[in-house]
Amino acid sequence: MHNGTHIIDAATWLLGEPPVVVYTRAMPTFAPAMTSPDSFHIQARTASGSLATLELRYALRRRCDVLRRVVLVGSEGTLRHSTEEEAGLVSDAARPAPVSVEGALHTQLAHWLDLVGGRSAPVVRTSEVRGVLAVALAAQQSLVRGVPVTVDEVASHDRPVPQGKDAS
Amino acid sequence: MTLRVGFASAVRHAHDYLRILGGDERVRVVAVAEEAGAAKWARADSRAAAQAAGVPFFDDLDAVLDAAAVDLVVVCSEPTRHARLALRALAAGVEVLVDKPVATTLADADAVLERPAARAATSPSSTEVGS
Repeated sequence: MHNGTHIIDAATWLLGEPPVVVYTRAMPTFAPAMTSPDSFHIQARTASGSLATLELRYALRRRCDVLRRVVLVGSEGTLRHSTEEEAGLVSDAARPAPVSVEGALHTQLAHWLDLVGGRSAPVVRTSEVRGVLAVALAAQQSLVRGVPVTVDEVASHDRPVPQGKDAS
Repeated sequence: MTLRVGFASAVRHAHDYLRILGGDERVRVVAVAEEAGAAKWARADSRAAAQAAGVPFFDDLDAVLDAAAVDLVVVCSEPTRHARLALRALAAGVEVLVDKPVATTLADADAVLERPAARAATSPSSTEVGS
């Protein structure tokens, strides 16, 4: 739930709509003896039929490594990105985040300060926050039940989306 | 105007939040506070984060829920406490940034987002809520 929301965020943004049904499986990869799985696959489908395979995995070679791969197959072409292919000088003594990730949290918090100060409008809506949480909860339920779960099955999903400052 | 920022719990990503906000000239991080009843590891992590950032630590959340002393509170606990801490801060009249996810149930998320001033900021992973 804590880290899995990132890939659901990314999938929702790349596909232009949130998943409506998900199927999750889990496996131990980094520490097989752990009672809790550390890696997850989510198969997701959106209302218009787009499909996504989302993977969250902790089996990296070194502590704090970051590896992100995205392949987006569309009607007009294929987009592929991997942090492995980004330029940068990395050693055991100096291991900055990949270029595509470096500074992301700084930008995020700077935007928050701008928003609080009335200098910026929110770039994300409360409905999107709630939507990602609903998909994550559905994925969690799928993992427990071992079957595909529709987001509609998540408790309280049928309630009206709370309106916020951004929903004018 | 300098924004006075407090932390309600400071585990997991708190070190990054403290480092970045502490380095922003628009911000003064005033304190980290943790619930007295929080898990032992959470109290230890929050205390360590405060020490690393060089800001005061309080073993009582009220220290950062004083609207006269704090403008904004970052809720950076484990996710199961996010909504409850956010609502407590909102009731105290301070703005809130909740680390992701905003809650662990939709009902709890709605309780936060239904605040009239609720608004998302930056990413679906963190939610800013006005007081």
